[in-house]
Amino acid sequence: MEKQKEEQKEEQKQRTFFGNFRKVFKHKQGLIGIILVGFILFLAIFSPFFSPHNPLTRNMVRMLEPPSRDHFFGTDVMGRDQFSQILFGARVTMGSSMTSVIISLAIGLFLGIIAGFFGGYLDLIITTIMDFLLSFPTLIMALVIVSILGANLTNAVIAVGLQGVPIFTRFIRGEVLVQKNIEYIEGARALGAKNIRIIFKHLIPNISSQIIVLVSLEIPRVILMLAGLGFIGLGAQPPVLEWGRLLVSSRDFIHLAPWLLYFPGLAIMISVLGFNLLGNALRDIYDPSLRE
Amino acid sequence: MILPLLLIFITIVVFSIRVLVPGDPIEIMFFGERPPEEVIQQIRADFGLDKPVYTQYFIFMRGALRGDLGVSYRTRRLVTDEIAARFPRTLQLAIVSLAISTIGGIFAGVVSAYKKDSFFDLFIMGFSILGISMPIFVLGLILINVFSVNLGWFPVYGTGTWRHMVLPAITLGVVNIAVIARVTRSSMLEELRKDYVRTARSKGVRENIVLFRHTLKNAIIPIITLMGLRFGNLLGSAFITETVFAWHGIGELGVNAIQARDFPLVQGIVLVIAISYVLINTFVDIIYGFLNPRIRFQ
Repeated sequence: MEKQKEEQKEEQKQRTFFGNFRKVFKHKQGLIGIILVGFILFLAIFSPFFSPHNPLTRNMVRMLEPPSRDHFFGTDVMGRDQFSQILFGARVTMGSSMTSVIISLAIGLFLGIIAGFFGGYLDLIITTIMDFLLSFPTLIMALVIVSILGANLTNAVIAVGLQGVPIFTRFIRGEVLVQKNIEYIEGARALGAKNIRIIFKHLIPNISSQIIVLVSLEIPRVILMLAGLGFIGLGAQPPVLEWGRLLVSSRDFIHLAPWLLYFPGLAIMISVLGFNLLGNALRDIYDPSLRE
Repeated sequence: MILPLLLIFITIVVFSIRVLVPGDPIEIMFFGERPPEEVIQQIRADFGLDKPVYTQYFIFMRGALRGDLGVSYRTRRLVTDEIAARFPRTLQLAIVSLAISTIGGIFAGVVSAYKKDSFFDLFIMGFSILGISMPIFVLGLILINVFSVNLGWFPVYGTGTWRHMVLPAITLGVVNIAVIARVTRSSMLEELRKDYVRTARSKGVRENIVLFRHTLKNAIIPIITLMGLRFGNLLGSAFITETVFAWHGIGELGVNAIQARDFPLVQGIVLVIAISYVLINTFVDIIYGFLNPRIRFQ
């Protein structure tokens, strides 16, 4: 009897998100991913404690210095310490990319549930518009929004968030349609539950792990897009320490100071790689049907 | 049926760029300075800005159908002329890099599916996840640093000869090689399990014919779909790659236009890219029928 109960508990645990999350550590790629992501998040949170210099202090005497014991990653054209810039940049990049994904998720969840759960004309309208919006390449969609709002980091975050809405809406609608036909929804309704209760108490918890997989696969794409916008001058503006923007000046000094290119580039790559590996692992664990 | 609707939708989105921009278009046109009142009235009448929004849309559409997308605020040249001068270069770059990545990606994918779990497979899959994780502008700058600055093999930037094309095409190609290799591998693995492969092998058909003539033919549909989608991505990435290499294509033009708030030009560029993307994917849909006649009959 005792044993059975324990087994049941174990099974319950398996069904929840965090119960399953332990499997990530056993997944080879997932483990590397979580270490990289954890490392970047750690640096982002504790950047003031590690940064040896003020990232914005100019020191013209020491401009374009190669990496040394004092300046681990060298200095830029204004003599600012690049190591500190990248540390603080981790905050900007992580914060802005997560905000973007949250914007896509919030709107996508709302539209996806309306379309999938209620169906009918609303579904037809939402699905058609989302399909049509996907006929613009994603970066172009973001550029259109940035060109309307004006170029700065906040607008770039909004633009990248909005371009993700059709992707989230379509995905969530699909998941809702799958869940809708399983008996537990019928059961809840038979017990007299209202739609709102069914959606929040039953539907969303049951699609949450699929949503987490999509979020983790979207974050790297969003990091790249925001860095790209920063690089072409349509995202973060100086003095915001965004990694893509840090790379703008590297092009002009590529023959004099290649470290201005390699270190921010490496920072972007490590975080994108980490999220890609983590996302692949989560997909393998939670949604094997999506496996390539 | 869906295609005309989609094209109309695209024109509405493109048209709304100018309507949604906050601020007076005239001020944007004159970079914040206000010209005399009669000039303003004249321009409003010329551009149809004094008419209601839906009338403006029809004016925009009438122009667009005649190949008239208005005049650039900045250069005062026709938007269609500006685009016509630049678009072929972007297209050229996209096609060359797609060709490189298709050949490379399919080959790498087929071999790594055939030698699943071998060192080569691991290497290709490792390379492909690095390729997806690499920002294209970082890759472009690294290639410039290594091959142009240090080795001096290719020009640093600009357009003109085939040597200008090498680095941007490789830069754009690497991401696509990575993506195409992954999809080819998984599609091939799916097919290699099937009975007809075993039959062919037991008949004694040579292995490379089994792989490239029998299996790849059946595995090609997802790859073609992907190529259509990646083409749109290539046109989008052009904005970044062309900035890195100062490649005088539509992307570089677009970045400058957005920065200068030159909206007629922005509209024209977005319209051209969106329509080419839709046409390419429609074309891909048509190709399906030829590649797999079963789809045609459904």
